Amino acid sequence: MKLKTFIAIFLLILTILFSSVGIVSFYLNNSQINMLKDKSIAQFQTIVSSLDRDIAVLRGRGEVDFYGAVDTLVRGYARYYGRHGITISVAGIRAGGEHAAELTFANRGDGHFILITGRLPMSNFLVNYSLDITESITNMRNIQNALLVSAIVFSVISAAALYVILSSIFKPLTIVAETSREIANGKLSERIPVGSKNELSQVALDFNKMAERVQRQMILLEEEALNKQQFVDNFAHEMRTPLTSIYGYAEYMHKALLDDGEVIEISSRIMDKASYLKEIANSLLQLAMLRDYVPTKQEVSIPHLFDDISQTVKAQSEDVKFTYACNANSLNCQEDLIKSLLLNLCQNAIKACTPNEGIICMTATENASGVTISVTDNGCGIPAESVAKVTEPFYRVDEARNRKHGGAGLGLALCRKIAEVHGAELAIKSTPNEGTTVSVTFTTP
Amino acid sequence: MAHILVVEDDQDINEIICKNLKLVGHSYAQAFDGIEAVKLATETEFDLILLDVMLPGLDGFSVFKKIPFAPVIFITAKDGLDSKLNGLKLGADDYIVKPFEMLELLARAEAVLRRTQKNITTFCLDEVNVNMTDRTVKVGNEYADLSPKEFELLEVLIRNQNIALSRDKLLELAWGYDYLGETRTVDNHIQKLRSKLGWESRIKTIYKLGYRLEVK
Repeated sequence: MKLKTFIAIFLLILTILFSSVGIVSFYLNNSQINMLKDKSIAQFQTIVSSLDRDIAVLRGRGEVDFYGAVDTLVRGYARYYGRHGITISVAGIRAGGEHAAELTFANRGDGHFILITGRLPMSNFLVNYSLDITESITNMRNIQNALLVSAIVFSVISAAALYVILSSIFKPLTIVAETSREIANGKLSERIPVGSKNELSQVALDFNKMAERVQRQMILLEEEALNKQQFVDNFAHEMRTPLTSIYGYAEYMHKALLDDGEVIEISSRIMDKASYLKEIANSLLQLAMLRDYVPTKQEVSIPHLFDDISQTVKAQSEDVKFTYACNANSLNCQEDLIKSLLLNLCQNAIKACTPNEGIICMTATENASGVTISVTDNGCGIPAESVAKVTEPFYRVDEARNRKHGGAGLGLALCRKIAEVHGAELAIKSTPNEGTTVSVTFTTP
Repeated sequence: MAHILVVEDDQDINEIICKNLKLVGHSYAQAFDGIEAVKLATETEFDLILLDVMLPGLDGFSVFKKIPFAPVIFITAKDGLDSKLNGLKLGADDYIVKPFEMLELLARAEAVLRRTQKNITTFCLDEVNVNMTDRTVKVGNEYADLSPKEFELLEVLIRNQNIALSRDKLLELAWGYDYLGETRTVDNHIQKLRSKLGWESRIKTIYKLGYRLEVK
């Protein structure tokens, strides 16, 4: 594009320049030649008329040696005109017959000449006139050459100037092209620098906006893919461990000599593992179900809800102290989901606590923006770097410890999902070895 | 009869390994993390240690460096080629990749025990006395006349006592992988063993599975 424009404009300049140089030289040449012609004709006529008159005088005097006298006369003329680059010679001819003056150009080895041959009107002599015009012609050629050289110099300068101008005009386009090529090659962070305000800066701004969007989408997609992969990896691991145990126990039952007690023991272990797998499947199903779920909300009395949970928790675990404080009246939610959320949080708290030393406190507070329910324990806490990850499916702070407690690492993921579908926010605050507070804030719209 | 330490953090896998070891007549101790393993191995002398590489507390390689000399079989995860090499480089006797078949684990343990001569060399049941070093069998005071293949089959049954072995498995273990015989051969040899040793009720035919030498 840039090259094409350059060639077109440059050709135009060359055409105009050289055709004008041609025309100028042509006219210069013509006028110079005409001028020389006129000048030589005028001189020739002067010479002819004065020579004619002088010869007539000689004849009138009745010279003895008429031809000798004419010769002397002509030599005198030739000497005089020789100083002006003119050669004159005279030849006798027979009388009668027309003989008009004749002008020719001659280009001999020693230069350029104008030759005129003509008859004297009153005597039988032919005059040969020759004017040396070499100098004029050379001068003219020099002028023409100078014109040509200056035209060439001018075209070179104009080519350079044209290139510079075109480069500055096409520069933004080049940048756009280069940047889009970079982006096409995968460097999504490339942007066009937007400088002064002109027609192209809007294009650049829009282009940058587009690139920004593409990059953001790509990052989101990559994160999503990574999360999915992580999930699948974790899932495979979670499935494999209990399945290996089930296979091992089943193989043992299949081949070993067992007594009745062992049959009961081994089969109940297999059943335990199977129900653990079922639990994972149920939790995953519940997570899937909650993905686009809209809860059927109704007003639930919080003191009543807390009573319920307190009874369940106390029945499950007798070696922790469970208390609750309720400073809110009611909550607009789907009761069974919130119950399962709070039970999950309480069970996590129980797992975190040292037996017989654990204190778990469930509180509800209400302010203008909404209701906050928190579960606080004085258990082992969560390391700072894990706090953000504990709500991811299958994430475990400590493989070995949690495996003994039997959790699959889906509880908090479910809790977060339940909070999400209620438009609530789940926040975790934890200090290792001091305890953890998980709070769910329900904002009233 | 060997005393074996099983170090494996997964409670169920540990349990299954121990049950199988007990079945073929070994005694065992269990450890669920590296520190416990080091403590047990220092206190007691074991004929073999089955050592998981991925352990909480202290990993298997560190445990290996800390314990007094004992034959060790490493238990590694499926894709840990590095850990296999590392284990062998450290001087382990063998490694086995999770998940494994019980018979494979028993065979490898047996191989290591044979090398260190801690394996069972004599076996007594009812009237029968088997000496595996001399390859002789006495029924009462009489030497029983067993063919070499019959003796090998008997040895396989003893080393996998209380475990049901399929006919194919028996072919593989007693005759070798490349033996192209039929499973009928196994049945014939089993019949002969039963009548020569008077073990009609000891070598049980397990329906749809194979044979089992029942010692309990």
